[in-house]
Amino acid sequence: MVLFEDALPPGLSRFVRLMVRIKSVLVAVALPILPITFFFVVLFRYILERDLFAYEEWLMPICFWVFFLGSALGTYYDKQINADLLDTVTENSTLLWLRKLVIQIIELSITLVLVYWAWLMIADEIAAYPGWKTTIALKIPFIVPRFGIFVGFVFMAFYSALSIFLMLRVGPDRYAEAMENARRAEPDEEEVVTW
Amino acid sequence: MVILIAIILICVLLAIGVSVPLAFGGVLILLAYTGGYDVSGFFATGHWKMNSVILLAIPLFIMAGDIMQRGKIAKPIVEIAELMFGHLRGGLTAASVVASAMFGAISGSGAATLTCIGSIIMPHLRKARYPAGISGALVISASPLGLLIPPSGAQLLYAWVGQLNVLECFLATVVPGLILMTLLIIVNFVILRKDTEILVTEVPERFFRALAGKTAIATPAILMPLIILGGIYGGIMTPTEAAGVAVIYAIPVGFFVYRGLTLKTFYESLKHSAITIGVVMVMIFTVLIASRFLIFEDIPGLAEDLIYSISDNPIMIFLMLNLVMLLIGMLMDDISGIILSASLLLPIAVGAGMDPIHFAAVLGVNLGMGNITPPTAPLLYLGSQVTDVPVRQLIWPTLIFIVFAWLPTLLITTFIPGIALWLPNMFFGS
Repeated sequence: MVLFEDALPPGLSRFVRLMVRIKSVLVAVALPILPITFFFVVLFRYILERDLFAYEEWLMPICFWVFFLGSALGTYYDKQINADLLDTVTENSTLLWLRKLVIQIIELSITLVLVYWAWLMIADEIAAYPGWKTTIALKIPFIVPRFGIFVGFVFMAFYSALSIFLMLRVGPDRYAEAMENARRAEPDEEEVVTW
Repeated sequence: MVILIAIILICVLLAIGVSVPLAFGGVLILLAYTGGYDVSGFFATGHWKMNSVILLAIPLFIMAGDIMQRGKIAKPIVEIAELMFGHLRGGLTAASVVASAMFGAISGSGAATLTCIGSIIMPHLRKARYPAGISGALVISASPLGLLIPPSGAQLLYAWVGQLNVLECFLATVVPGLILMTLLIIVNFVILRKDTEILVTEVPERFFRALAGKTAIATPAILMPLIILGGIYGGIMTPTEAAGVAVIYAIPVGFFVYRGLTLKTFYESLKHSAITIGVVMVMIFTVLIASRFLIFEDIPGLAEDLIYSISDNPIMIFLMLNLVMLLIGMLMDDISGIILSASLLLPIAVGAGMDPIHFAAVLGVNLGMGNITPPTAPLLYLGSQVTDVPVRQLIWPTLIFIVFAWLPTLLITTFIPGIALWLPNMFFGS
């Protein structure tokens, strides 16, 4: 959806950009915790000759938030892994636009069901209060990482819905033009690296 | 019947371009509402399964690959390979294969290898008038070496799903990786031997001095695989810890040695890594849940019955397994493919007499080949973006590399167990 973001109404566009910026900063700040922790695990083991106590119990919830917010950003930047096989079969802009629209409608439908399942998981956790399931040593409630999963899927659904709105708004010609521009652009490091 | 519909659904969703996690989400929805499962436990299952420190090696390898790319840490490795092979016709493309293998020893990922090596070497290949289609196809065909040369994120995942020794799985793919590298280089030289358009570089008068100079510059980069592999095989660190230490090492090297990193590019690297990690890990999340429910539905048993109804000859069974894995590799990325194959096909392979460590190598080669095999071929499409060569120009030469390099490697790896098991047996005993 990032390609056509300027087609959003100004208020909504500001909100979307703010959300993306907040998420980007959160994941960029949280991600280095991962290697730093393992560096200290090794350092503690060989220099201080002791274990870093129960680090996995606080590290895993952080990771779940990074994973699912990162994936929400992946939906925003259209970076989810897929095979754009049909794009190579035809150059007809209307067909390409229609194909993308159909895929986005399918993806939104599936994501909404997944959001509902994530909500069921959270509702189960909330209902269990005060007998929440927690980690063994630090007693961190499982609802912490699980809420990250829920929030991630909510944002994925939100960006998918916005994409459909934008696709309908820009139409086949502008879609084809934007895709052509993106294709012609020098393969930008930021845009092409995937796992 | 439901299973058949599920298989058709996943193929159709992936083929039309629905993203992998959501395609598996679609299958889950089908299974949930036709099988009468209690859906409230689905996501909790996914959380439990993913709540593993071992899996964190995957995001760390992604981070390491991204920092290496932006930190220009791979550039001196490519320069050494160029110096060694650049004076031969076809030498620069051969250098890209060697550089892919070397980068694979650091990044643990086929896509990261393709992006990093492809973006560095393609301008050199254009300048030296290498045919775009062939050179692009070779860079793409060599990129899955990142899956085969350890450490490999995919093998780590396979070991985790199959409850196997990760170091043995890493070692199982080394010899197939080296065979593949050799065959790719040979096929490349055969194709390009008569191409007089290609400009070759002069061998420096003092070759060894130049090599020593380049090696000195590349030493901090070369130290990275040594830290990772030395740490893992020396028993000092687990693969996850080694990946974490490699990231911490790469940051100052990228900032102060190769100066590719600035505060801005570092922030971009973190942000971009987080997106890639999110996309990959959420995919793992949905595939793990889906594979669990496919096992509940006894897909491995049904697949085994189907295969044995055709033939109970082990050779035929291995060929059929190869075909299925190749199709999986063509349809989805290596990570999803590994989870599905390890969950569903490993029991069949073991039942037919294949060692699980041997299967690790066969699976690695199959998925690598599937990832570059048209029409789906995720790495082929990524490669088209990276090399800026249209897919139609890449398909034919890629098929040549598949037939003359990948396929022989696959058959050798499948039917000569010693190829995969020699190194694991040497290190860990048979």
